[in-house]
Amino acid sequence: MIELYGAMQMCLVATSCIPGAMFLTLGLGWLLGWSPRERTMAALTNATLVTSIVATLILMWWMVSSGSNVVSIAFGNWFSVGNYHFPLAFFVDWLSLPMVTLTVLLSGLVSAFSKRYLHRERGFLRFFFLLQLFTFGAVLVFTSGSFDLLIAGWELVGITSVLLISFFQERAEPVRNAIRVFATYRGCDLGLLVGVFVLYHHSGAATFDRLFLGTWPNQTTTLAGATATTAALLLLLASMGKSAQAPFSGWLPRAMEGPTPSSAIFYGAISVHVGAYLLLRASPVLVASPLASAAVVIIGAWSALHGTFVGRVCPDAKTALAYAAMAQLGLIFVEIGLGFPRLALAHIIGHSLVRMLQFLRAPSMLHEYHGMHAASGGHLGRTGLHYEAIIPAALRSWLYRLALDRGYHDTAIDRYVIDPLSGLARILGVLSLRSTTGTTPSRPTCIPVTPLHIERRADV
Amino acid sequence: MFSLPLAILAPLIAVFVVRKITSDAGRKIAAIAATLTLLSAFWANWQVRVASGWLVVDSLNTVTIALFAAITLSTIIFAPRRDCTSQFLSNTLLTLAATTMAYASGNLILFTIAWALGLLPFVSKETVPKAVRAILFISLAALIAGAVLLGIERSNAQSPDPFSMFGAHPSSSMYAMWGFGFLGFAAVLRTGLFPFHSWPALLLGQGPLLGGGLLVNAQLGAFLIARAMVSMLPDAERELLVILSNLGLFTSVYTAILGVVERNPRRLLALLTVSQSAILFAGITSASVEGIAGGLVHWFVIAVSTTGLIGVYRGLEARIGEDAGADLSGRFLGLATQFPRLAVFFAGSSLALVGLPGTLGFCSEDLLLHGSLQADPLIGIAMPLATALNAVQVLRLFSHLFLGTRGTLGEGVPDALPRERWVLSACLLFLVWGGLAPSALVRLQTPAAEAIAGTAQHR
Repeated sequence: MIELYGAMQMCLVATSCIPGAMFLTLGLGWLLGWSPRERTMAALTNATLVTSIVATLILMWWMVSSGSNVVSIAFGNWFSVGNYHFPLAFFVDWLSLPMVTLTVLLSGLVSAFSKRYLHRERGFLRFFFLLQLFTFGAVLVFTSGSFDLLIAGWELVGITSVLLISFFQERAEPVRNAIRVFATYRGCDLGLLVGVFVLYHHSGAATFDRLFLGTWPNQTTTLAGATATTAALLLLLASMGKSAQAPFSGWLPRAMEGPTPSSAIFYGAISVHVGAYLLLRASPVLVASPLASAAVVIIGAWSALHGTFVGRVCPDAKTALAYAAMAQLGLIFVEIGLGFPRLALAHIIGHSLVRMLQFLRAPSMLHEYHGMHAASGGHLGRTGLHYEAIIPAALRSWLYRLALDRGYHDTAIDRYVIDPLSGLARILGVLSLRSTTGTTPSRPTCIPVTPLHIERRADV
Repeated sequence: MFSLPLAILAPLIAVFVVRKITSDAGRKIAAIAATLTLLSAFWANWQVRVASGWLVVDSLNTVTIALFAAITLSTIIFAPRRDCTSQFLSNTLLTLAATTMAYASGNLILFTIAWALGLLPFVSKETVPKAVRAILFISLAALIAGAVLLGIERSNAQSPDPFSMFGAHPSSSMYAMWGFGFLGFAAVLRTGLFPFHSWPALLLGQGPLLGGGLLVNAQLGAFLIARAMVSMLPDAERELLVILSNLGLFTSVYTAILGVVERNPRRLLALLTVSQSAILFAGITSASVEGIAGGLVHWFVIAVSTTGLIGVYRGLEARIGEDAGADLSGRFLGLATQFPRLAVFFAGSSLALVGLPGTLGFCSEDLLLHGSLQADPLIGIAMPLATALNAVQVLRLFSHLFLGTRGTLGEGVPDALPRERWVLSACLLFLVWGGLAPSALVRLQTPAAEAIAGTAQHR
């Protein structure tokens, strides 16, 4: 039995680490001059993901057959200083295992799909590199045994998401949107960093087995009162950023600039659900704080309505799907806030599968719709008139305007966060230059202008 | 005890040799001298620790000497051929010799001489802005004033070695208060803390990029604090460390905000370096072992990452011209198509600087976060805030340089040359290896951190 448990631990480690190891190996090879062909890259990625899928399925089979609730493995401390330790511990339970399985399965599907879809695309290799890194990051989030390690995976998911949004780098708009998405992510991630510190400060550790007692979803915590509320609200901030909840939802339609397969795996399936996973993982803290639970419900309901209304006025298929995903994520948040973690998990799985399929089919959907439209002689019935039937006309036009402007969420963030920050930066910039040089140059940047003809290769 | 003199003398002798020969041979000689310093630092690391006298061998300085020698060696190797003049090489070696001497000194007189020697490459009116020269010389004057006042005070107290950088100061008289005030002021000026944060941006923006990068990366201000201030400061003056720590955190946010509207890549790189150096400074003055160790590990991260970033950017300037990327407002140069490997090196180094998981930056920032939040949760929040702002700025800089439509910039010019590729790969590997297995590097810095924190907490 002990040997079998050891084998399961190895499966857990293999699932967690193989995509990362492959990314590092291939990346280093590329940096030193090796350029794999498309077929080789796709085959290596598929092989990696198939190995992860097999390891995960073995793990799942063993946990089901043995009735085990948890498989964990600890490798001591990643590093430690004084009384502070960063534990390197992996862990799966009945919350994380479905998420891991979903991640590796859907990553494998996207990898197989993208081999043809991105054939001869300029960024083919880049996409597969980033898919490996994303899979590693997402699996790390789900298999980490502590919040510290979870942060590492969380950040990797964020950065791969941003790099894939700017995949079509020859256009300026995807690049600008990627920067905006990254800024939203990093802003909200402050909640995760400080929230985890609060948990650590209270319990002396950030590992799940020290923070929570019992097995999911019947876990409890010793946190209570203001500490629990502070930690829960900070974690909620992080979840809102990752799961595109209002008012930080403006990044999701911007993220649709990436290639369709990445939209499918990130914004239809895995990445957007990572925030919900964090709340499920920290659900004992939420339970200990009625205020934070109420906040989760309110934000979820707000986002669900926002996604529903805005999605109905979106002119393009991918953006409409993004808002539909946002609405479902809002409902998942409501379920978590109301204390239905199992329902929320089932909702995450179902939603991921359906939404990913919809995203992957989005490019051909319009083509098929036009075919059907022509075949029916232009008499396809209208759909989606539910709200129109129950909402008064005056309110409908008001809602229509609100939806067209996407709830003014981005406008509010621009006006109350970005513009004041930029204004402050400009003022400080002028003051700084004055304080050092005594003057304010007409051009605020320094200009070492020594033109160099580009054909002078010898100067390189 | 021969290792440290060798580490100082090898680059110092090479300064005179490279002045007289052609650039290709000069690069080799300079590289050999830097390698000798690097090996001497490794050798010193295995020697018996000597914690008194003029030259000192301990866990703090052997590591920092090795690190600085390594980044100097990298700079010498990947410097574009147009930069690799005898003057550049001699200035670089002089900076290495002076910095090594400063790290190795156990005496304020020697430290001051090394500080002054390190400023010699930056006295040129032609290449270094006046404001930068002024600030650097004021920092030297402050250091001299601090050393003299503390020396007088210790002489009056019949101390056997009045200029030693070790041992608690006997009293907190007026002399001592002013002496430590001047030392702190010198450290603030040299690190570029608020309100003197603009000089690195001016130096890197208008002066020599590679040489300026080395001067900033020497982190002599932080070293002065770690070596002298923390151990010598009397109990009554410990508030000074708290003030310096908070000033460091404030500067990190302030310069990160300044970066939001900065359009010149050189200046933005400088602001990022100052912001991260200010975090390092705050960590070292935080008086918690986590914070100090985080600061010392972050020293590695800043040195290696910014060396990589500055190297790549200078390489780009050599390829596309210095004015092509000088103002990035609204422009995307799209250089990744032509220079994909330089783009990856730049992205990797910049993300390591702001704590990407899987790099050493993640570990150092984790330690710094705990250190700064433990010291004061309300002020400590400045550290993750500054890092978040810096992260957005490095992505913006990367995007403007490497993404977008390429045009004709860099057409026909090669991507990373082998000498650049190997050096930058080594930098990136170090950051990634340090991130995947950080315990070795953290363990290396822990004795120094415990010594500094122990000194701080004992009294």
